[in-house]
Amino acid sequence: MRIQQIRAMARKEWWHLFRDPRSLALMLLMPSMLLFLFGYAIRLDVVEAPIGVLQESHDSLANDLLARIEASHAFHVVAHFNNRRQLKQAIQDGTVWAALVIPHSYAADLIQGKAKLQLILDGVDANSARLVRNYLLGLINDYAMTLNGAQPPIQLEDRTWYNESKESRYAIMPGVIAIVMAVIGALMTSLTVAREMELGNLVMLRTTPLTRGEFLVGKLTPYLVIGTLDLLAAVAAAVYIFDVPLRGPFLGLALVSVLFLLVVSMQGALISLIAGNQLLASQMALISTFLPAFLLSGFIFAIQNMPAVLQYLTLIVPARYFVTLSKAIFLKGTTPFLLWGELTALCVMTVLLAAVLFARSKKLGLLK
Amino acid sequence: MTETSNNQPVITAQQLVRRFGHFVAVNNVDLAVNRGEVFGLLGANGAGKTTTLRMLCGTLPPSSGTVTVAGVDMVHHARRARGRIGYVTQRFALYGDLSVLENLDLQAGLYGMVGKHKQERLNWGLQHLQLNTDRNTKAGQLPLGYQRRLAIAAALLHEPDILFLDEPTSGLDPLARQQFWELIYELAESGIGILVTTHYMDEALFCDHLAMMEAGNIVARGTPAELLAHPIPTPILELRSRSCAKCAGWLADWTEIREIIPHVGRLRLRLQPATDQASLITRLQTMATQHGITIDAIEAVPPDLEDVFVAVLESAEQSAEETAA
Repeated sequence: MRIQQIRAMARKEWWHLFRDPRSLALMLLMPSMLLFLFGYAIRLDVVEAPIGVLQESHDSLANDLLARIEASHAFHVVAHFNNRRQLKQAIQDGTVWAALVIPHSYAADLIQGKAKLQLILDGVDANSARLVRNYLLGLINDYAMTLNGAQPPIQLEDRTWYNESKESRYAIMPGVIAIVMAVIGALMTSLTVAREMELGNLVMLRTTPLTRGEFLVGKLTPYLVIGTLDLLAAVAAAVYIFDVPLRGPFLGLALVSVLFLLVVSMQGALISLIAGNQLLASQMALISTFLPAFLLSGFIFAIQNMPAVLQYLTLIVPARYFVTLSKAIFLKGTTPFLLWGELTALCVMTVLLAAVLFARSKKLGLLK
Repeated sequence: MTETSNNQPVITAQQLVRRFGHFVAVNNVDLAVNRGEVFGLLGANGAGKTTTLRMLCGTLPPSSGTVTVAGVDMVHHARRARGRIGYVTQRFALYGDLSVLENLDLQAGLYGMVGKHKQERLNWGLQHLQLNTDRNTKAGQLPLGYQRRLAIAAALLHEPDILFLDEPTSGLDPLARQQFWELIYELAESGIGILVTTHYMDEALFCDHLAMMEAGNIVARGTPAELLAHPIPTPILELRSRSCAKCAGWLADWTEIREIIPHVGRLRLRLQPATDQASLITRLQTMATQHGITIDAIEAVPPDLEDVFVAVLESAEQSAEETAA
């Protein structure tokens, strides 16, 4: 490995990157788009869920209950129905996620201690339905207790560590960084080797004293630099725009991110090498890197809840280890060395991929 | 040119063989290119020129045989040997989205050049191949001729001992082709060896030495003069007339004529070996008069390079058939 040759390749790759509008878009727009998309669009908690009310009883007790619901940030009463037909229509249209029916006999039943409320949920979005139901159940239980004026015999005092306010984006943002890295690392590098093969530049490179190690290192360097810059931007956005606390050491996060970046970019280069053309390579990268990082990393879907087969499959997804590390550093404030299992897994993957990549690059026909 | 060549081979290939499975693409090729010499490798597509070239450049390992560049063994010391060669591919293989200067800069880096020396060589390349005004133009936007110039500049930056040019003039217009050959001569005069592959027979005449390839073998070699002096069994007649196309029509089934090669305003007739030329000319003139065609001239002419090539191929085939029988 000679520094001159590596530098020449890296510089050339850098020039390509900034001339190609597609790579520029991938580099700059995609990460910010992903951050904002996930930062704002994915909400795993209920805020201002639109609900409707069919109030058959208009006495003060019913009004009191309603006031409670409207005061909560979880719900926003957007419709007051006059009859069941309107209620049905509103759920059908999707203007409300749920409808609460306060029956005629509400006040009378309440005094006897056997009041019933009906909740009708739109089950098309099962997740939202479940969330709305649980929130409302909690709210009504609390309310019922205040009416009783008595403490219930058992009380659950819950504290959610690391995320007191149970903000779902606290858990999402550290994972989004994994997705951003996977995009930069794998999608972009998957194009790079294939391009040289497709456009015939290799024919020229083969007659130069460039070795395949120099070729690979030179080619991947710009992506590692850009990936690191994107990482800094993503962390800054998470901390300053989305108010996610970074409790662990920043350097620790940087270390594991660069390690992860190294793994995914080598994965991308390997795919590129095997595919040999840009179209196939980008599709393979999407399926083998981006989607697993998205679905199998525990970023949104908890690995423990997956079927056993999928759980084993996640073991070969590098994003899984990174997401665990990233979440722990962000929210638990651990240093990466405490999670040595995940750290080792990433290191092993780095070494393995480097070996396979080097062996496979024989195909390029460059000097050894 | 022969004055400047000093009979010191910059590249020597000995008993070069390349097999792909059972197919022998290159069979026992020996060749040597001297400093200051333009060596032409001739042959149709598929004759084994490119395979030979790839072995000479070290991008394809030979099945057997040796290649030595400036005293360095190509197979065992590939990295050192590559520093001694420059290769210009037939298809443009530099980067179209990089400027002329950036492409040269990359090339200089790949050969490990730095600092002042690198600057000097870049300037040399830009000046010498008249690329200075286009230094910031994207290579992909250059006309074909200038892309080739850039490719040559890139291949010469590291001052190789030998330059390989794979079909350097294909696709160029006649003027650009002529300029190209002037450039090639100039480079050879500066003392490097040049190996050119071509299938243009008229261009082959510009080479100092020629090797004709067919089916993986070198079937003839020598200077153009030596090859032209090669006695060929099939005499050539040249016929000048304004109605060549008509003549070609009724000459087509004359058994004495092996091949009719049309040119503008003339026909070259390749006769069967041992044809009585005088009687053929008489018969031809009589026939022409009957058809009302004026023949301006008909005479025996010396063979050109293509005729020699065809004759050599035919005799090679014949001897192959005899060996088989």
